[in-house]
Amino acid sequence: MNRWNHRGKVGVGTNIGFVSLLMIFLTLCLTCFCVLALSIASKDSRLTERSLDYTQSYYQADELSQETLQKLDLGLSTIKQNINDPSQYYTQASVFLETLGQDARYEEADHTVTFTYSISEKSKLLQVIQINAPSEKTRYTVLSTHTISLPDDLSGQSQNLWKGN
Amino acid sequence: MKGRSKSVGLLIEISISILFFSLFCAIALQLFVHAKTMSENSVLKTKAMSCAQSVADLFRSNEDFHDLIKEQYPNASILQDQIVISLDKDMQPISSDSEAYQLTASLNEEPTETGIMKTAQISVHSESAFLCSLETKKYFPKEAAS
Repeated sequence: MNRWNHRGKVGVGTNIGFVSLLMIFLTLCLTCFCVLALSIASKDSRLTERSLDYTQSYYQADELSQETLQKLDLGLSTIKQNINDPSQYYTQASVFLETLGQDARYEEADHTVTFTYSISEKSKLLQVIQINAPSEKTRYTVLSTHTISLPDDLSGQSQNLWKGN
Repeated sequence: MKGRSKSVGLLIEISISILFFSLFCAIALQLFVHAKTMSENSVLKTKAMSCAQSVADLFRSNEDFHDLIKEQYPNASILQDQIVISLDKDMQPISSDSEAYQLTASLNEEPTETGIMKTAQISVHSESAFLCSLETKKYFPKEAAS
């Protein structure tokens, strides 16, 4: 009996149930860390995929812009062969630009054309090109190529703002 | 006797707890490894795409692509219509004997009446895994005869 009593004293604090509670606590901690690690990795992976998709879309839009440049160059070359008068040349060029699509906007004042290529729902690639005079060696000059971010569509989401009265 | 039965109960409880805990640890460890692999893959894909973009931007510049590649990647193997760059685990260019990944750029030229359309298909891959690919084009117009 003495022997068992001695053991009972040593085991003070380790009552039945304490180990189970400790294990439950450790298991819950482990579950939390596990879920956190997985969700972070998953979100990171999704972000990477979206980033890769965006980069590929950008290069696809750029490819399209280069194809449009090729068509534009060919068209301007054909017009140039038939017409030498600058005003007639620009008139024919503006008519030709409408056939190229890509939301081509021609500015008669400075003979520039702006092409718009869609990258994603919220961004577009804009290319501004100047149509050179028929006397010049190059038929066009690329003035700028840049991306623009479109604002979020807030239609239907009216804000109840203070009107000042 | 009461103390003995208490010790036996405690022992059974600890045994069962350890059994369940080790079982759960095994599952959790697998999930942690899976999370780590996913994270490493993401980093690797980002680095691979960055590398492919660098090469694509060199291709899109108006200077000679082969010269630029020789300058930026001295260890690259340059053929007429293909460029192969060996990369290490961190996507840094290295000599081909200790490569982990490979960047391949397949080049194509399409002459037209008014200029040349050059195409590059860039991909980053290892022997077993494909990481990313990019296709880019550049149009080089001929100057009009004066």
